[in-house]
Amino acid sequence: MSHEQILDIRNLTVKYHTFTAVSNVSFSVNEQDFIAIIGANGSGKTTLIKTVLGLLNAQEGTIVTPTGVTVGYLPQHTMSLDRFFPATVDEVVGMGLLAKKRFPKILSKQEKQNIEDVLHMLNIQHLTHKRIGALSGGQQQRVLLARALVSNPDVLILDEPTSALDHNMRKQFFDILSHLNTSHGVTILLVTHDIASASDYINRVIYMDQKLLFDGTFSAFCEDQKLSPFIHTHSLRHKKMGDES
Amino acid sequence: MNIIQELMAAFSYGFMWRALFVGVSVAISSSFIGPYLVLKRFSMIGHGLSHVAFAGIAVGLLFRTAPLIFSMVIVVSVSVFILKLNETAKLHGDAAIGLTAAVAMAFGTVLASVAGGFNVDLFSFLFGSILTIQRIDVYLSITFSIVVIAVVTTLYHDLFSMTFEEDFAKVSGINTKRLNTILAVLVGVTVVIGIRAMGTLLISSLIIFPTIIAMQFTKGFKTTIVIAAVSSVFIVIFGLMGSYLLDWPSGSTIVLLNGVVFLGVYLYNRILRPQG
Repeated sequence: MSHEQILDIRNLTVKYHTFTAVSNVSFSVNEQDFIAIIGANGSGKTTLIKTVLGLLNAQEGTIVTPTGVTVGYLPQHTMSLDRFFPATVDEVVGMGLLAKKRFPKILSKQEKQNIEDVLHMLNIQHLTHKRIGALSGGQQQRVLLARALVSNPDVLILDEPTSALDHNMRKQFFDILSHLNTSHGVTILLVTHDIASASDYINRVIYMDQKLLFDGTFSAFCEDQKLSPFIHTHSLRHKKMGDES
Repeated sequence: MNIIQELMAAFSYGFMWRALFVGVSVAISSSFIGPYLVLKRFSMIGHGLSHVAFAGIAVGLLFRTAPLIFSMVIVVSVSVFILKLNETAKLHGDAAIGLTAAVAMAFGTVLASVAGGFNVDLFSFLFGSILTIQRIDVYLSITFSIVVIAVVTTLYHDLFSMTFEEDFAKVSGINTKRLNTILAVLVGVTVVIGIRAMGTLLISSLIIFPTIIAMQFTKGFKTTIVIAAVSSVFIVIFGLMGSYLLDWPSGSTIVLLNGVVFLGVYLYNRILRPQG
């Protein structure tokens, strides 16, 4: 089954003063792709997605999305980690709709139902009136994912969403993302250091070190001899062999 | 004369009513902006701006023009200037506030020292004095408080979103630069209208205390603002009455009462309140 292109990045270069964080990167994203963007610290992953989101300006290159494509975003290191922040779960999830609305910012019946549906889907409906700072790391990530999902985005961009989660929580989180991808058709761009956990769910890997060094399937990534130092560091060949046996 | 008779006598004077109107309107408006500043870790901007207000008042008194109006123009401009310094990332927010406050305070005191002759007036501006509140101060306070409350209420969801997570707000299409500038202007306005009752050195407490008192109890953002405003109004009213009865400076009395209430709710929360 072929999918329409939903994002096209051509010759993108992003600099901080004289330092080039992203250099001449080109790739496209199709509907229902589940892409892991990986690379070492400082390789430009976060810069790349922040530029795609419009948070940073590119010095060169283009980013094209078809008209009407909506994006949900789950940032790295959120304020919710401030456990004293006075915001309930329903206030935070509602933000996902209200922040995008024009004045007067009032939720319709349908939108309130959307919030309830998303909370149910992520199994956090019982936390509605809890203060977000009082929740565990895994619950907080689900709340923030609910905020990103409540506006029914076509594309979901996540920046290291599992870095603070333990192994079980990571698996649960990736299961949710996989469900969104396969059952709801959400296209996912995931910046992660944890390619080993993500590899069971993704259909593409983008590996970068300022430049784009690899774009393809996880199997092809593991076979690529040029990338063997990275693969060795992350014990990925072993994982792939384990999967195949 | 017992306390109730003394208070009844106090409210037969116009100055007490003027102080009440100014105090209550400032209590509400400062509680409306407090949560955004406290949670963005920018609460010291009120303190910094109050020093700038001091310099502005010194200039106003020197030239015998309306010191509060003069001060408002300067404070709002400096508030936006501090924000821009912070945005350019060449100077951290607290460093920008510290520098500006020190220079403004030095400028104000040098001016007072060189000019002389208005030291008594200046003292009332420093610590607040209910006796000096004029009818024009009441009109200014109520008008500007209504403006602050109306703007914050209108922009509530955008301000909440930006305070919680600025990047998410930007991605959602909120113009955070414009919103931060509006917030800086509102802070400047609130600081100046609170000077008559609270004094330049103590007005920032009216921005910080109500929020941190409310945060001891609340789970939600909206309820934090409401409880902050309600508690601040009561504290200001009792503070003004205490100020009259004890003949203490009004700003100092209100701050001390805020401190006592905060300590009380903090200890109640930590020791007496059932967990869970």
